[in-house]
Amino acid sequence: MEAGGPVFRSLESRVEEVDEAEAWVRQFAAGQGFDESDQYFIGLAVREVVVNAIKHGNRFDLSKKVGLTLGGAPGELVVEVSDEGEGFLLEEVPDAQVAENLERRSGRGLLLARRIMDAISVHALEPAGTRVRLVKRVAAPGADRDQM
Amino acid sequence: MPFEMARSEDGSGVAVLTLTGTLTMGSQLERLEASVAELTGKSQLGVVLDLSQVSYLDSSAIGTLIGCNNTVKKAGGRLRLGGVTERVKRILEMTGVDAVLPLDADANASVAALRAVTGEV
Repeated sequence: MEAGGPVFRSLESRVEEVDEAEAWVRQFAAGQGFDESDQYFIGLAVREVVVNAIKHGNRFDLSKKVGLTLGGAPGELVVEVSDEGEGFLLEEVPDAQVAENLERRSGRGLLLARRIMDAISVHALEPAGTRVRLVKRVAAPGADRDQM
Repeated sequence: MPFEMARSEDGSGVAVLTLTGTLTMGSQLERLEASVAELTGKSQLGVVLDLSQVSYLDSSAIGTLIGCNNTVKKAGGRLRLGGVTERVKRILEMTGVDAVLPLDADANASVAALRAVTGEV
């Protein structure tokens, strides 16, 4: 995270928190210079990671929190989502795009986050939990937005 | 925008569910699945989901669309998505599900496509 800018919120492990978290991220992204279309997709990416943290990480356990940190230099957004769950490895998440998984009902949240954001990384926390870090940079003028 | 759902059936075996608002994790997804299951139970084996007024969906909603498609297919029918907005289409393409969920320019095109195979649905 860039010095002097990160802001943090602690979320309850319930789905009702997700809409507000998404709205907050969109608003922050606007302040970082992202246009409305980027805000829309960034909101979706963060929504998916927050839902995963609540659902698969903390398993809706209200004694556990989800941390959401927003920061980044102008023209950039750095998002960190942390949970208190058992953790996972990004490379072990099934590929939702292979033929045998296309008709599965779940497993697309992280895929969307990866497709939308410029970078995503997963870090194990001690003594428990996971932190997912997402980075998005404002596209240069004339860049092909379909390559999001 | 709150989620709303309207249903129309014309006796031809093709039903249209018109969805409005945002489609995200929650009870609206259960309502959608229940409606599709009810239609297939009534031998409405051509099902169109009109998404022209859906501005946003998440991966939970995509999973529900896949589930609806599986339900209709299992009953021997077909499901199509009509009027998908550019942004929603992009979300579907990002996940690759546009390969298994047929997309049409609008609901009328979906209905026409299903009626064209009425003998099969």
